[in-house]
Amino acid sequence: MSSAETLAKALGKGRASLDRAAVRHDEPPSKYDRQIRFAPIGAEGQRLLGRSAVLVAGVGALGCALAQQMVRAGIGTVRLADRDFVERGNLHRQSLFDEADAAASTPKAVAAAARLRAINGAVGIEPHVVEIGPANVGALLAGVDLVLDGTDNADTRLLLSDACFAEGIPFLYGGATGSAASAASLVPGHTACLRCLIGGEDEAEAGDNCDTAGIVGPAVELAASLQAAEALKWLSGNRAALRRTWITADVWRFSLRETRLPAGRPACPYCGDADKSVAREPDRLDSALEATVLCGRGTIQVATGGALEPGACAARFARRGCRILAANDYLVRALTPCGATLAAFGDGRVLVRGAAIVEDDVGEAIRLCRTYVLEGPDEPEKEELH
Amino acid sequence: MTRRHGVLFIVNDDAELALAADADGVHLGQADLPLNEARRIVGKSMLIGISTHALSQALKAERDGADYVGVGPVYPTATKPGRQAVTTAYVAVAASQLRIPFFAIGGISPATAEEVLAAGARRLCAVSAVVGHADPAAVCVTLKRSIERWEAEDALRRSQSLSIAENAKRTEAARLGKTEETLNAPAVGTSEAPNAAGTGIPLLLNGKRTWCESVSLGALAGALGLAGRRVMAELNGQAVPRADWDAVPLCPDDRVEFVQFVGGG
Repeated sequence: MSSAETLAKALGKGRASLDRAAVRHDEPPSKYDRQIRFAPIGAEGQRLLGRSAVLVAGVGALGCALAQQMVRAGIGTVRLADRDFVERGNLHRQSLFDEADAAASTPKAVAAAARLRAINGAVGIEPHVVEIGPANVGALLAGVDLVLDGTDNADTRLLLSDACFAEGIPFLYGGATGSAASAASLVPGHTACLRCLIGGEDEAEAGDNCDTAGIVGPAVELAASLQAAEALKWLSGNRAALRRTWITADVWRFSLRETRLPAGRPACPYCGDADKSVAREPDRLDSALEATVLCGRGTIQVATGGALEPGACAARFARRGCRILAANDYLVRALTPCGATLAAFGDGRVLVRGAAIVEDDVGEAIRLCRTYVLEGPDEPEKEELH
Repeated sequence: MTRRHGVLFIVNDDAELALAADADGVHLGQADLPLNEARRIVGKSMLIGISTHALSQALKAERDGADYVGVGPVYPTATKPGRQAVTTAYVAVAASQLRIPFFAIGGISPATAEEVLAAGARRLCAVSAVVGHADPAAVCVTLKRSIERWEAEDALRRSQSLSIAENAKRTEAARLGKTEETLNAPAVGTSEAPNAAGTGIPLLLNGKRTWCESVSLGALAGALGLAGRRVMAELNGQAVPRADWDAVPLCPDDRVEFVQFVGGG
């Protein structure tokens, strides 16, 4: 039996689809010597870390910091999931990326995986260029011991919290905006779930985000460090040391507050005893084009419902008068004659940006996708060419 | 005429006209000419305001040099039919985020003014409620009184936060004393109670001593305009699930924190 199979068996999840070839645990002990000398971890804790698997959900600022901590600490498998590609505006805080990644529009999960493999080749790195959604959240959680939250929006966090509580997997929330950092360890059987704490209203006002309030690197690193410390406790056999609290901090004005988390709410289908079957079934995407406004980014995401082969996409873009800005194995980015930027991902999503969609014009984003991305007769938009 | 009465004259939409009429300012809509162009036309000294319907627009206006912004429509209004209301949630976030003055507008009347002022607005704009009323002057006076009452409370709160250490000492004294004494207020001080009726209870709200008339955590969140927002509530050091907010009563000297959900990543 290979060590990867042993790992999958030890995790006790038949659905585990870990990156078996990359998992190796015959490392010389010296690599983690200083971490092993830290008494609460020790040799046994290190062994447990090496047998663990985590999902880093979102590989932006928080995700980079979290993934790096996990990989350097010698976690067995680090699974990465992210829907976006690297841009110059990310580099001041997203520590695994560089100018070349931005120039090539490399998907964040892929760029991060390359850097992480160079940092610690003993760790199995599993990059997934996907949007975390109801259809794939089960597969992404399969076989992991906990989820580290590096997402940038409440909806995805609620989806992950629901799924984690249904599966009994701890969800380590983290957030950073402006100079504020937050982190909380939400543990099934011990604490309430995210939905119970912040509310699950679909229309809830989102509050500040990085685009309105900006963000500074130290806030990110603080939130990620708080999450990573809890992860190391949980995975190294120090579960009793977990702080079951919600921490809010500010690195600029300086403040640090800790709030005790309540136990699960009995009436909640996720963190309580209520019948799981009453938990609301996540909405599934149908095959029609579906557009989502990505909060505060001046970006609309259109799910086309089918795969978009990058080569064929690039050819269509070129035929329809677009300028190709970047093309790689995962996506093609192009500038349309009307000044919009379209990034078509292999998994069928298109990120639409530009003046045309400033007013969150979902209809316009869908029209641009039909005109320039999808298969069909090539009809450039004459009225837009002036 | 406006000059004779000492009020400002703002021209809607048309910067050229504002200039020609020697107006005090020009007010733009989101679809009108861009702020920087309007500034180029009217020069530095004329006021420029712009209607906004979301925080991102207001922050952009602030960056681009607007002198004030309109925040609305707070409620659905017949003046702009079909426009979706931004609710007092936007008023609250504008109050906490903007440095330039803002006017709450849209469906504002003496009936709704209190809610809008509670959300943090201190400048109100009303059209239908004034021109559609038999006694427009009386409506204006009522609205003005409401604003002045809230401004007076602001001043009181500012003076309280200056003596926060003193307050902490008094709170401690009240804790040592009997509960009835705390409720009857003399031990905590009477002059600080903004409500003349004396029905409110003292709280430590986000670290500040506050008098509140809400009986539950949910009612307080509603009064603060936080009901529909992503916030976590904490009572005496422990987070309270949202579903329990309405059932959790507030007691004198409770420590309440509303923590904004930090969503970036």
